Amino acid sequence: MENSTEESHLRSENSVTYESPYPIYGMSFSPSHPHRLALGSFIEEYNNRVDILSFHPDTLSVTPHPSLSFDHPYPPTKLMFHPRKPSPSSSSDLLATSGDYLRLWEIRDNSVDAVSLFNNSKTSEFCAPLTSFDWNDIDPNRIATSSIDTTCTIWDIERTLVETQLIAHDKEVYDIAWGEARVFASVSADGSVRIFDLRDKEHSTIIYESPHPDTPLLRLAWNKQDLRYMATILMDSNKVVILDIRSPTTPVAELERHRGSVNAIAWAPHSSTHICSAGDDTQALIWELPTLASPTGIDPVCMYSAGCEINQLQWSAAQPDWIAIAFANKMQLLKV
Amino acid sequence: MIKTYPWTLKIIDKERIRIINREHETSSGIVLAYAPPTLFYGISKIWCDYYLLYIGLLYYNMIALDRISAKNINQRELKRSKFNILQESKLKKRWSLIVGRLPGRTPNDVKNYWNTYIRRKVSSSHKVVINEKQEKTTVKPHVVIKPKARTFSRPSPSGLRGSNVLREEGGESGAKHCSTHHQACAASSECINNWSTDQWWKTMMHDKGDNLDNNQCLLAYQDEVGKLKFIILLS
Repeated sequence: MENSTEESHLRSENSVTYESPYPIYGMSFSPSHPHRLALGSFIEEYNNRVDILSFHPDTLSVTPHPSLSFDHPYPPTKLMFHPRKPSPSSSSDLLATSGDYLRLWEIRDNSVDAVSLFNNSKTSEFCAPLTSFDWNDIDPNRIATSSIDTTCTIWDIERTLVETQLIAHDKEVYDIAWGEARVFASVSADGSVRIFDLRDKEHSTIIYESPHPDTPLLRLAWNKQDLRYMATILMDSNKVVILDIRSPTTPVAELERHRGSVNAIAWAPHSSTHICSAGDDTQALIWELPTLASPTGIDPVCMYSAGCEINQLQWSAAQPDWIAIAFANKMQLLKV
Repeated sequence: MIKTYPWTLKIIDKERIRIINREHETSSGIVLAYAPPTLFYGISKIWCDYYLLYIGLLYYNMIALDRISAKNINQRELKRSKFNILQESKLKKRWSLIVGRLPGRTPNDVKNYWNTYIRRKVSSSHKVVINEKQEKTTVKPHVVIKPKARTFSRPSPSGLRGSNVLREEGGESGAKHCSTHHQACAASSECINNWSTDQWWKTMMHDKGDNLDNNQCLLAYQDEVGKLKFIILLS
């Protein structure tokens, strides 16, 4: 009785749950509006929605904004707010979404406008769906998208033009992440992590290949606090692979405490040694990477359990004490 | 009379094709009456008037079909767009020759009839032109680059140990400052000269421009690189 009471008390104090009318996948915290959160639906049809919520850590509540909700074609594969405030005087926010195309939306106080649609098709009849994208926080005029047609495209946001398009991999590209202003990395169904430098577009560097041939790599996270480290996950695997780009081909750590497939990873925005992972075992784990490799393996420092498989995970940069996870049609905010 | 037979045969063949198309196009249920060539040949030998009557009946049926098919105008336009303009003009010429022989018909009727269809064709081709223009505006040419992938062989255990040692002695500084600085300078020059397996990753982390924080970061990285080399020299 005491244990359950204490657990219930902890849960109510440390988490906020929002129930959506549809399944949730895409999520993004707004860096310029600390309490703003965007959620994308995951309905396997053309009509999908993007909702904007407000989170209040004082009262532990989440408020949706129906006037800021808008239609989105196909489930958005990624949502991301502008990494900085567009202009100091403006109160609006820019949100980028990827799906059949990369789209840019302006979130105002009471309305949402579709600003740009980025189309690089040679003809209007065919477009390759985008799997993910990343907004360059050093040069916010750049967005890099990854696509199932094996290409990565660098977009010029102001002119809505293609700056560079690279045939990055041999198979579908599943995720992409910026490291520096002109350096990005991507993971692919061909099982490799590759680093690209826009100052040398004729070469790329493979820093990791999955141990089993043709096991796809699904997600990539570059540690923004320490650019030497990356994390990636393999398809149908419970491992989180930590890479040091100075010693390629061999991971510096493999976190193996999940009991199901891992679906999402996120580095801590305020610490270079903490990373969070979530997966099909309904658990979200926070790990602290040690300076020395332990022979018995690394154990997580925190563990959360959701009701079912966790699909998405975001660690807020504006409020590093809060993590958002998405499972089924629920979004839960966890205090760490 | 016998000399004109091949010409009339061609007319009959083409007209039969047109009528069959019309029948398919409208599916109005009208049964069109026409004679096979051999039978017609026999008739034409004997009675010229029956030949003219036959042509008149064909023309009347065509007009009737045209009226009935007004409801199916979309289908008709779709099928008619497949005709070649040259063929249309050829048929037009022959029809005017034929109609000139029929009582009660004037060349203006033929002119109006054919101008209607020709005008529609021109408008449809105009639409095509508009579509082509639209397609051109959407094309955004850019070059797609395929980078060559560089890979590494598995690092040696000594390399791993060096890496571990580097992490262990992360906090050291002071007495070895001068030598490490020298090593860092050497490493920088080596990196600038060409891409080397030891230092390839340095350029990936020095792309932020001039900034105090970045300068500190740069110094720290160089310091670590120098230490690594120093330790290797010791071992």
